[in-house]
Amino acid sequence: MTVRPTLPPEDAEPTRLLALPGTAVESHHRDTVVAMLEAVAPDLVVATPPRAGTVGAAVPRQVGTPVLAPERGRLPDAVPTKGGTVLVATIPTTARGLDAAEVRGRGQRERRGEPDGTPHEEHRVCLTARVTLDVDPYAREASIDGLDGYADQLPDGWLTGDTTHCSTGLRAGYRTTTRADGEPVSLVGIGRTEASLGVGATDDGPEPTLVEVYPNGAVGTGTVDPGAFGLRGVPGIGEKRARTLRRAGFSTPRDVADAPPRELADLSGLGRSSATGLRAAAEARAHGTAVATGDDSLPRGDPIFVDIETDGREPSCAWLIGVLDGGAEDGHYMPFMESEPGDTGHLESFLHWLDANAGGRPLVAWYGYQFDFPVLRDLIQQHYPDHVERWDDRYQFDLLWWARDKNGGNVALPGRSNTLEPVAEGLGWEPETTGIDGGVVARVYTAYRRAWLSADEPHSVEAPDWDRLAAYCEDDVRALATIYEACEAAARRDPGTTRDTDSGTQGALSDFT
Amino acid sequence: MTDETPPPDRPDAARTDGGVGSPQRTAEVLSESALEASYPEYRDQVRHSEHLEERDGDTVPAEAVLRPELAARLEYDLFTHQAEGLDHLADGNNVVATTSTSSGKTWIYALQMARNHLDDPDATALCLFPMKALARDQEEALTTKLRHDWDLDPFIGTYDGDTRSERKQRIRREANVVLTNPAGLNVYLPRHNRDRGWHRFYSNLELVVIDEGHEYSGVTGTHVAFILRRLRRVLEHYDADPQYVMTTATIGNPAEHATRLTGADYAVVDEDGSPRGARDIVLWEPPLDESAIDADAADPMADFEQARRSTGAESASVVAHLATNDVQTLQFCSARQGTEIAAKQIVQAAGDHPSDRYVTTDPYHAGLGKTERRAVETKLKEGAVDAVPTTNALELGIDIGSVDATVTSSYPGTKQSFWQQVGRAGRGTSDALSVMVGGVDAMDSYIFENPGYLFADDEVEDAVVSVDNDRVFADHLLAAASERPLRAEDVEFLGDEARFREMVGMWQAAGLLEETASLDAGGVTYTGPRRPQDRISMYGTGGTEFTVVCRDGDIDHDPVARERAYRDYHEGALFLHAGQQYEVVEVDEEGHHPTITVAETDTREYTQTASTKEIRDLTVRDHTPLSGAYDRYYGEGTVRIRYDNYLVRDVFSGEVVRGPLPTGAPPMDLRTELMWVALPPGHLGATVDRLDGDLLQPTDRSERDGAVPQEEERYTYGGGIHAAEHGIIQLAPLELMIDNADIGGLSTLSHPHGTIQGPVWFVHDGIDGGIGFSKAIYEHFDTLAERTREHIADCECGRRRGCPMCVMSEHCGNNNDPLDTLTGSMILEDVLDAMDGE
Ligand SMILES: [Zn+2]
Ligand SMILES: [Zn+2]
Repeated sequence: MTVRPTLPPEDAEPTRLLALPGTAVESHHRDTVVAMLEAVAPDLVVATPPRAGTVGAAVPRQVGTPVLAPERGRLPDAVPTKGGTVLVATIPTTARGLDAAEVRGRGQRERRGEPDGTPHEEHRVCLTARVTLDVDPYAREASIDGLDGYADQLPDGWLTGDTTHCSTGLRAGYRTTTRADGEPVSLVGIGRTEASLGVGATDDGPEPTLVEVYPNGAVGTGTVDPGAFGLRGVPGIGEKRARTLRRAGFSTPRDVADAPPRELADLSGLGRSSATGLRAAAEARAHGTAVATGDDSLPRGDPIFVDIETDGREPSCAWLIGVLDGGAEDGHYMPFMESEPGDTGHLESFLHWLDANAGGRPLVAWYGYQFDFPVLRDLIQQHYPDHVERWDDRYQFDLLWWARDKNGGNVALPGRSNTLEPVAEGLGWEPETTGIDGGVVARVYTAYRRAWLSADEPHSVEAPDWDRLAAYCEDDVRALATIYEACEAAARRDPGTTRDTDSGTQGALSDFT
Repeated sequence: MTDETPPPDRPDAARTDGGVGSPQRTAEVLSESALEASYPEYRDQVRHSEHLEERDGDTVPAEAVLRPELAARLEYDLFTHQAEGLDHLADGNNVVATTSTSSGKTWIYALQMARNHLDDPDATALCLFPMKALARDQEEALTTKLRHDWDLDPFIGTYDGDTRSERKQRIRREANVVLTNPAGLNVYLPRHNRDRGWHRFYSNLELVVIDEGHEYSGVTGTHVAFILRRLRRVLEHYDADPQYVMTTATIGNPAEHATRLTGADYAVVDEDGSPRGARDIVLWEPPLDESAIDADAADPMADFEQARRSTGAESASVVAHLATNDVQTLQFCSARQGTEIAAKQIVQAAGDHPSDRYVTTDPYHAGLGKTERRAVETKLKEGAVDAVPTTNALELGIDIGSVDATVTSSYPGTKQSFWQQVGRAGRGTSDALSVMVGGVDAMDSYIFENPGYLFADDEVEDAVVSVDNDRVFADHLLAAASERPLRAEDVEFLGDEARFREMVGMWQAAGLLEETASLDAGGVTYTGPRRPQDRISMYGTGGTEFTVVCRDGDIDHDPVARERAYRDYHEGALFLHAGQQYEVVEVDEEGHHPTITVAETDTREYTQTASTKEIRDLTVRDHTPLSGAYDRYYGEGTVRIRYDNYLVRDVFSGEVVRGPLPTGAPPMDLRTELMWVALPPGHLGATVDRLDGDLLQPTDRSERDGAVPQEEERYTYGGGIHAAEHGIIQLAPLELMIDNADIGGLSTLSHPHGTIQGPVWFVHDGIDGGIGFSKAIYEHFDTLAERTREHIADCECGRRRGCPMCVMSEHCGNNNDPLDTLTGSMILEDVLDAMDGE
């Protein structure tokens, strides 16, 4: 029996753990790692394999983030966070039959002096290396190993109850809920697996992963690319260029953004056109603005912003089509939502709405050419083939593609990844909903659909918090509109002069001649 | 098929040249008298010659099959098999055409494309070819037929890794006919719903062509079978229900093979209506110096090979003899010999030839650049080169024109390869001549003893392909899920149902498929890292795979699966590749990209890897009880192989130069398929009694080999069962299209498994997860055992311990010791008797 995923409580503050593999630390410059830690600002770092031993030294004291190493030591180690309401503890493989007070005491003694009799924490996060996954395609079975031994180590009542269990023996991002003594046990991967995952595993080593644990047991995970921080966070600056720049005294994106252009071009042997691009990107990054880098204009006509929620990245449905008609702040948001699993009436309503309102206006989506537009087309083809031709004739516009790729890119944007919300957040936008992302939404929907379709009395199946999911989608279309407006503003500015106002130097483009 | 441009297979072009004088038969050059007169030291090497009479074609008027509109555009009548294929297609059937090479099978699908195009100009067709070069050749051929000859306007394009991206975009948007290869389809398939062009293409798909379908067996076949199932599943989503046309070389089981490969049902077209020219086939055996054979040789296999003139050198002499007699010749070399070496040997042999004529020769192989290749092709066509040694990789596909004669240097392993090579000979008014120079192998030996095998139409190998490998299935299941969410009804393509559901459950539990989803309620989505297709390798079953790099330069070597790497590519191993000797200098399995680093070398040494094997965890899947206490089983099990050490031996003496040296390779567990023959508990005693004291003495080597029983009775019987095991594996390719380098064996006097009361021998797939080879051997055991018994008993060597032509194997981990052909024959006879009584 599968356990349906829970959403975090609204406005809850998660405990944020950054699972940091030693190899990720080793393959990036110290400045990059520090910039990452400062930007992500986790409550604590968990040293994970491969080469977990090198992580501790890479986290400088001034950053002040505690580091736990579940694969090291013979005794548990613990860190209370969130004002003592959450306890994060390592359960080393050698420890046996631990006592709750003892584990709590480790955290108190080492970091806070003597135990002071504070009440028990509300939630615990336990870190182990023992729990692993075994996959045997010949037996056609995947099983969790090591849970029994781990359970024997834990203080009584800690296996289930208010505890989330993270194992370095499970691959980062992996999550499952298994059962022990009939109770659900929430397991989260923070390391790497030895299981044979076939083509479901890449050759790449593990990436740093941010794990957010909410007091109600909800968990969010996401990878963090160290190469998205500090100098490396500027698109176009790889490790080699970063080295050149550091040697010349540039250590932050701001340094690069403020550099006299000629100096930059000479210095890195970039040639002037890449130096220009680099500088624009650094500026976008350092100042949280959109900087025009190309000549293509945005579409004429008032944009209609679209974002779909599906049942996965390779979806079979778009159960929610979020539409924003108008601007980021005051535009009208319309969620076209499936009335029940399998129904496509909302898609038809969306198409009718387009017929009535979208004449000549661009449909704007983020990464739309790769996802939203083809997914919608596929669904229209399946369910409303009469609309396909009109759909194909609509002006479909992928803002990410236009900004980043069209003719070498038109606008440099901030944000530590190219996904929608981080970019908008880089521009200063703030979401209304928290603790949800596209993956979580897809999971919640999929689990509900399963329960609904399998139930004798579908209407008795407990529905997810649709309003919250619709609000998440609204966040996305408003974030999209925010970026669009920033791009418009950037394009309106003369690309040559924007740079000057910020850097205080003369000439910009003409400087290179 | 591809050698039908320019079309040699039209009725009017049939070789009915009889009227104009009486041309000399090319085969005269190899007549007894000609050879006595001019072949250097002729020693009766010609063992057999066969003259094949010319055959007229059978035709049907095009109007009888095609609508007038199309028939009018054809210049010729259709051969009966083409007409039959087209009729089946008109009736809505799928067609597998298995007529001979150059019988014009292409016409069946080309004309079907034309019909579809006339019905609906938006109709599309997808054609899969085993090699990129073949797709390009066919793009040209199809363009000529459809657009020029038949005046239609479909857009035809090759879409693969070499296609430029603008061209690709145009093909996606507009093409009616897309030509590619299965590995390409594997990675293009996931784009089906992300690109309007593909969407259009799949929605309008009326025809899927699988050309040279016999090429898809073994590991590659397993992958192709799953790729095609994934294709069919995606097509179902588009409500596309195309017809399938598969062409194959002549195989014994065309319908079964086509069905296993695609999951669809087929009508078979196998009555060849095409004409055939007359040709002579000569079997040529390199001379053996029996006095040079040493009964106590350190390496009996190498000793035998030393005593026999090498196949490569002998082939070169034959080529030189033909060339000096103005017979332009194509020589098909083995991969080991290499074409460069062959070219040198031909020049040298011509120098030794009494005619004292200079012979021009140019090697031809895949490593040549396009311009160099074209140059050789032109020289061949213009008669500017006398002899061209080529790799047998080029036997199919690439159009290198026709020559007067071909020389095949050792049996290429399948009848279809052999006939494909033979098909290159023959042009103008003289008859075609083909020579096969025998290699040192049980198959070659069998064919030289039984030449009828080559010419009998009813003795054709079955193609072997399996979809039972769970690891490969697991990988393709992830790929399928990333193409569209999985649903209960997908069992139609990805069945059997229990396996499908269990595997989906496994991946859900492993977090690669959405755990909260259900096949029966909404479908299961893929949640793993993007594009799992890109990580599927057609060379292996999902285990570690090594890239071969050369320290000193380039080496054009396919990736090596772990199963073969441990045996043949451990550190210190010597191997021949394209005529060059290499030594493995480093094996790196740790990194993300396992690598075997080799260095060019030139030694008079070779290496021999010893292995020990254990077989455990047997599960019976099928059982054939025979009479008495004899039993045959098929099932799964774990084979643990240790390639612990190897010997370095001298090429000429076979003496150990160094070793045993450690290989450094860890033990390897294969979870794979096996068949085993269990003999009655008392069989050893009974057999030894019949030998009446005529026992073999354990060799010195065997005394140091813990796996070999030293007691004479057990040693001798062990040699017999070992010989039976070897013999069956070595001759299996005569019945089944399988590579016996991917089959392993183990014979033992006892084994703890419950199905085994007495001695037993195992045959197992050498590939993790299995690829259907042992299963096919299990199913064809009667024929194989009978043939092996005959061959062992009749081998010319007449030696108890056998020779490489009967029971010795280069892959033996026990240095071919003990082997006893006498006891082996008795054991096989008893098993055959028990089968009669079953
Ligand atoms: Zn022999
Ligand atoms: Zn052997």
